[in-house]
Amino acid sequence: MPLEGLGLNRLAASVWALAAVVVLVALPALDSAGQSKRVRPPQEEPEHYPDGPNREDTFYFCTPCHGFKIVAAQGMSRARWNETLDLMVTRHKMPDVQGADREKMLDYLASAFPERTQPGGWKNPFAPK
Amino acid sequence: MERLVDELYRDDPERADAVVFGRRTDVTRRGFLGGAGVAAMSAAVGAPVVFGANLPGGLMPAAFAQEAKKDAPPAAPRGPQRLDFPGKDPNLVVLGDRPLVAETPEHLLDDDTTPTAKFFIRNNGQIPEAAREPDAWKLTVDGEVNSRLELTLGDIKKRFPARTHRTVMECGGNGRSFFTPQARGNQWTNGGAGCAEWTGAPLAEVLKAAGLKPSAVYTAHYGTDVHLSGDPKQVTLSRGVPIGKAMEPHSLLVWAMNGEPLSNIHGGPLRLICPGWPGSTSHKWLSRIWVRDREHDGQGMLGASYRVAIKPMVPGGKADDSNFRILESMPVRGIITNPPNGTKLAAGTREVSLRGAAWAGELDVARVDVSIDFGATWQPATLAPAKNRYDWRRWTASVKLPADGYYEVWVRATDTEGKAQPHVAGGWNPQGYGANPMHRIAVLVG
Repeated sequence: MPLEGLGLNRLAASVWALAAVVVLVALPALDSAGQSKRVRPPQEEPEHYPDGPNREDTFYFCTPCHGFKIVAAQGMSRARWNETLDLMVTRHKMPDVQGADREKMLDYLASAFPERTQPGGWKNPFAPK
Repeated sequence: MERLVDELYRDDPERADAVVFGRRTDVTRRGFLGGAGVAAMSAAVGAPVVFGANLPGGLMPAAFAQEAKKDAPPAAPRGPQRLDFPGKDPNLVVLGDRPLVAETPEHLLDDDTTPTAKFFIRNNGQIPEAAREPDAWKLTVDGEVNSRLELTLGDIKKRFPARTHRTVMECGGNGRSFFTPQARGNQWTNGGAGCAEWTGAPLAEVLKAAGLKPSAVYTAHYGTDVHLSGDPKQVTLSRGVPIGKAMEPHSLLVWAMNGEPLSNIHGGPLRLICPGWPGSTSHKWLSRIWVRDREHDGQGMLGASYRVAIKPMVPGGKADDSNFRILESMPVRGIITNPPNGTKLAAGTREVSLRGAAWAGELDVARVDVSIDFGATWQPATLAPAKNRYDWRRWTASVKLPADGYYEVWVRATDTEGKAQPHVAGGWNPQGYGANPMHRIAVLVG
């Protein structure tokens, strides 16, 4: 149970893990004709993301609710990552992990997805490979 | 080399210019003091940077604006993830799988009316099961009204006049990826927008039927999509608009998109369309409109959500929640839809035709200009008329290319209040709303 690596309250962890199952089972989609089809998002693994301490714990902490792709698309300072976790707690009822466990997640997030200051958003197809 | 360049520009753009290309910018931050830098840069790009002398200092040449790929494991997905969803164009780019969010690259917005298959997708929660009997869908209107209404979609179609408008629908975070430093959220380029024909009943007519009390101030919208956590007690999203916007004749309760029944992925069988405002006010899978006696305080209304800074804040700085106002009208935006970014033209090509679109939230577009010399000179584009208010303006132009080489074509739209798109995204805010810098494409001749 990866969450236990963070020493989380076991009840919160179980609820969180249960939520993951609910989300995965209950993600239906339909085509334009209204035919029921299930669209499975591509399988995500922690190994798809930058290596570093606490990667697995962070991955499994975030992904019960949302994909990790949106996490990896961010680039923020440690302080803003911390604010982001606060936002997830207040707005989306994420378990409020504090202390050493939060520090571990912040260590990973701030090192794997640090603030990027170069202009983003636009990619040039002629860029030298 | 690529990574080195990325890191240099990330850490210190002006030093990077000096190190990589031997160029230094003058005090106006435009142009070079020496020509050697341009030559070095041209060699690296693989073609002459024709108007390189106009490239602002510290702005990374577009050809190097590739994101650094940091220590990616071998199994990591590379490049943009294409959308695989029934009825949708596979060239849409997935920004997130859960919730499912996908944007339309600018060159796919080349149709006068955006086909449903090409229309962007934005979800906040889980995608609900499609309604088996669309006309039995229920909408409740309650709160500050004389008579609470419970209407089926069938009732709405029978009781109220149907209107069809072609209006732009745009995610409030469109353009977010252009902020520096990066703002939090889905990293939209310009593709969180489209312009479709929406058919529905004016929300105003339904509110009149319910009878608004004098205390009615704001609407609050609710849908049936379940929160990502699966917790039924959590509201996925609940935004609203002032009564004035709700009573505006283009705010519609929509059941058809581009002449077809509104599909599930776009919020069918019933959604709101509040054109010109952030797409989150155009609620999908609409089940309830609660008329309130105060500004709505639902999920997505408070803090920095769908808000912009009142007093300009330091980019990347700490946000003060009292310094935000609700983002209402979306800002002016223009895009080039043809040629696509990355088009190669035959050597000797000396003229290229351009097409695009421009829109301006609640306002109209006053003018569109294009530049092939990094904004040093501009020429006006020709605007097609709008079908109705909130429609986008299709535009065309033709530009002459003086020589073979690398060009960037920039577009700049100006709204009817004289506000033009900025050179870079301004008004930084932590959740990244209101970024509307000029769109640019790279074209290589020869």
